Amino acid sequence: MNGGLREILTEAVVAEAPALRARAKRERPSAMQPLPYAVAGLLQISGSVDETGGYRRLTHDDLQACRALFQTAVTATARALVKAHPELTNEALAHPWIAQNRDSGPLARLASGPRAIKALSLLLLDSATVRGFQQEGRFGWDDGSAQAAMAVTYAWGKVVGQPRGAVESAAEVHQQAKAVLSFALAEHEETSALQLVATRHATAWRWLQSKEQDAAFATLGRLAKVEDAEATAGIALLASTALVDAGLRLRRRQPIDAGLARVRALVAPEGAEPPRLRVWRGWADTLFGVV
Amino acid sequence: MPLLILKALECVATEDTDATGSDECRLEIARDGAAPSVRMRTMDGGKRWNLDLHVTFEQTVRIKLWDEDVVFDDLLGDVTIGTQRRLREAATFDRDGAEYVLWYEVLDAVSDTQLGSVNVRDMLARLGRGVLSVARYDELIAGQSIYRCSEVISVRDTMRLHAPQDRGKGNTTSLRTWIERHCNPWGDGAVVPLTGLPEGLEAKQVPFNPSWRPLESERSRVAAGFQIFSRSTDTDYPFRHETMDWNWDIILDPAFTYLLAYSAKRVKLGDGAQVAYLHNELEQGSLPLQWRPFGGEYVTFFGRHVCDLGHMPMRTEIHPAHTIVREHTTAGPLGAAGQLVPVNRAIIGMGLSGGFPHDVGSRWQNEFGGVPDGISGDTTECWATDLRDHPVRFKLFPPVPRPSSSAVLRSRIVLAETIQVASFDAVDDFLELCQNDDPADGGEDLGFRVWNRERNLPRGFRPEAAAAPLRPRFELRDGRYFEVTVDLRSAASIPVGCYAIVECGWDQVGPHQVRSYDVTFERVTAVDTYVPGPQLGGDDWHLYYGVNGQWNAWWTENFIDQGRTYDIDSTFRVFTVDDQPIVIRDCGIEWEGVDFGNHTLDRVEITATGPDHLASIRASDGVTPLSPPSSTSLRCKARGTVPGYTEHEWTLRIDRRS
Repeated sequence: MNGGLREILTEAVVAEAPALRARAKRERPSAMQPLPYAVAGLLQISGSVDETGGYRRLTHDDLQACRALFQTAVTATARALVKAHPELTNEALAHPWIAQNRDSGPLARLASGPRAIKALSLLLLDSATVRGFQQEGRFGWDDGSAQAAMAVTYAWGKVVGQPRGAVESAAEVHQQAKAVLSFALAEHEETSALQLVATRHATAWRWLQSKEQDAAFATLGRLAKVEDAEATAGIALLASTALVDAGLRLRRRQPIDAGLARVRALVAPEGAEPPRLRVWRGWADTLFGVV
Repeated sequence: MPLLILKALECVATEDTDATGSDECRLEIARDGAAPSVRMRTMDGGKRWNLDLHVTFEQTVRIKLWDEDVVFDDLLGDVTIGTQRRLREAATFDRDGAEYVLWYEVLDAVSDTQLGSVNVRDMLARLGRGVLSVARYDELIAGQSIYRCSEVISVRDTMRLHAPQDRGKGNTTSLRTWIERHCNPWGDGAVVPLTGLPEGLEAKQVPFNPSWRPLESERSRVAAGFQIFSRSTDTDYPFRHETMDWNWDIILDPAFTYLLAYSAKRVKLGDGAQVAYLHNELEQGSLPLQWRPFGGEYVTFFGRHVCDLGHMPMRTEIHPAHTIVREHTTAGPLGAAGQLVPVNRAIIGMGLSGGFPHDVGSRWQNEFGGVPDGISGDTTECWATDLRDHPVRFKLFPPVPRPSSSAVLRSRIVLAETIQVASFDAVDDFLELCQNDDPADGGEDLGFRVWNRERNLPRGFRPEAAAAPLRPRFELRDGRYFEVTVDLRSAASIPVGCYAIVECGWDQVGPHQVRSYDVTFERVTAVDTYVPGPQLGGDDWHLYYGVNGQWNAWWTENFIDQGRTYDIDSTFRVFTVDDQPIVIRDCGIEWEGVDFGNHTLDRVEITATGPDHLASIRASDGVTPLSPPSSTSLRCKARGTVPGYTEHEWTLRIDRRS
């Protein structure tokens, strides 16, 4: 399944947003790995002006693709949770927010399996649900990547207007995303996906001091060079794109060039340069002049 | 010398990640390069610090926000404010993961806090221009309005209307002072003062505390203005709603702007100017389609004036309402021998239930002397209104000036029906009905969403023709308008709803041209859904659509299927007067089955200016004609032009009848 991560990430770089969105919707009923969809969504909206110092405005297609990818990530997390903890089926349907609606409307018409997945998916929109599951040890099956995926859907969901839990403001979600990441990192410090998301999060809404920038770029640079092994498939690609993204936002040419070269090598070593890479390069040339 | 008003500092998120999570904030304010003055306060996420500081300066004011720590203080932000005029501006401090918003204004110390020259008609008239320029007014209101009005302004009546709810702002004998205290959306003179706003709730408090706090009391307040945006919401807090809210945004008449707070939401115009509006809500299970405001109407409504504590920035709103009077211009048979003439139609909806926001004990106390025997369980969470104590009285003006000296103003009652129940046990049953949140299944599950006597809706509470004392009464004033009263005091039993339609117009057409169209929504194609079909979890669509003040609804009964076309075949008869536009709107949600996590549908918004409406529709964004140009009919496809999470396309047919 880790090959799926690499495949979706590659598609997120080289394919058009509507195609990626269609894929996310198509795969939603069976997806079990949330991380590929979450980070592919992240790629769709990288460089948004809603992040500090962003450099591009999102198109409607970008937004739609990202929302679908994030939703699939949430649904995949629900599936994985139910597989690891079958008792969540009944617990989700008994939740007060669900219980008053499970006997009418769309929930009532679904078969029991899809109904439970849908109910849990809805509850996962509320970040307090994930925080609660973390504290109850219900993410014991996870190497941290699913929790990283959920943090992505919360923190960047506010950029794309993704529906959230019923009581949370965007700021609260933002805080909770940090809390989800911190908890998961304490348990899985070595998980590269968590390191990546945490670093990317740190570069997104904060204007880092010079030393902090250096540390972030060093982390991203290290992750961009990791072997494309079973446990880290796709991480190098995502880290490489994050180098480009953070470089453009923080006005650093060197990481941009390094990231572009690495992305090119990973997704399209031969043939024409993918459109997204051309856009990145164009922005860099605009900012720093043609090299 | 410019005047900087520092209004409030709101904490969206703190920087501190220690055990307390609080920031020890230090605000430094340095004017014109001088040493800063300092203010300090401990802040938590979701809290507001009412500053209310007035600073005169010559060139700049530099403001820094620090979080004081044990070793090094963290600079959270640094802004420099110049002399350029700023109205309701916000500066953000967001370093180190914190997020604070500073609200401020920069005014000319003398002129901006007042209105300059004052025009009574601009300030007191229905759809008054207020402080808007003509161009901005045309863009925002005049070009969109389906309400025409030949109004007689009474200063005395205006002051009398506002006196019970303006907190003493009307205590003056000077009309100019009165206008400055009521009609100026900029500056502190008119809007709800900072000291009148609560300080907010911490995030952890929100689930357990009332999210809406009445600004003064549970007494009903009245607001009125131009309807800009009316739609179903996609997310509500389940513990404080039984059904999804219907939201409507109003550009308040200038005389009502004192109901706003400084943080009011704003419409952005083409030139970048921003105009404040009032956002309002009412649960859909308690709000029949027939009462829901429509874009371009003039709407007067009565309800609970609250501050929404659940979000930053906190804003004032009417939430919920119990009486809505919406008016638009059409044609009615008030001419000689039933000739169609221009009329203004007022649609009056009055409901006992305003939804179920919880923490409403004092409202029950005010209205019924406490929660009556028979009301129990979650129905006690209703914001209830004893309609017998709330007669509605409003002025109904004709749409056009008197066409000749022989013209006579006429009125008629199109409809007058009530729903009354004999006991509070039955009221309890009615409130249970209002809690049904799945309209797709029809029957009982429609709740109180449709008022239709012929179809026995709402189920179990069939509307009846209003008895004579309960029907709208007309009093002709000065021969130029009617004062309309709907008074349910003499109701034989407990009224839970009242629905009336009245019209007023001159008995002659005069120089005006009345056009008639049939607008048919033939079918709709779900081009792109959020969830493609039941195999993926299955959602319903709640799609609301209509023309010039008339709504209809389409609630899917067995999931929405992507790519499928559904026959609707719903026809509205529309009358326009002169250049009055045809306004086509739709809105809705892809419903997941609960109060949150839903997805807004893309929207069709067509405003076809007259008098050549068909040509105007043909040229509208998102419209693809299916028939050749004609002065009598048009068949076309209309796609949503306002993005949502979905895509849909209507097939429309518009036939001109006269």
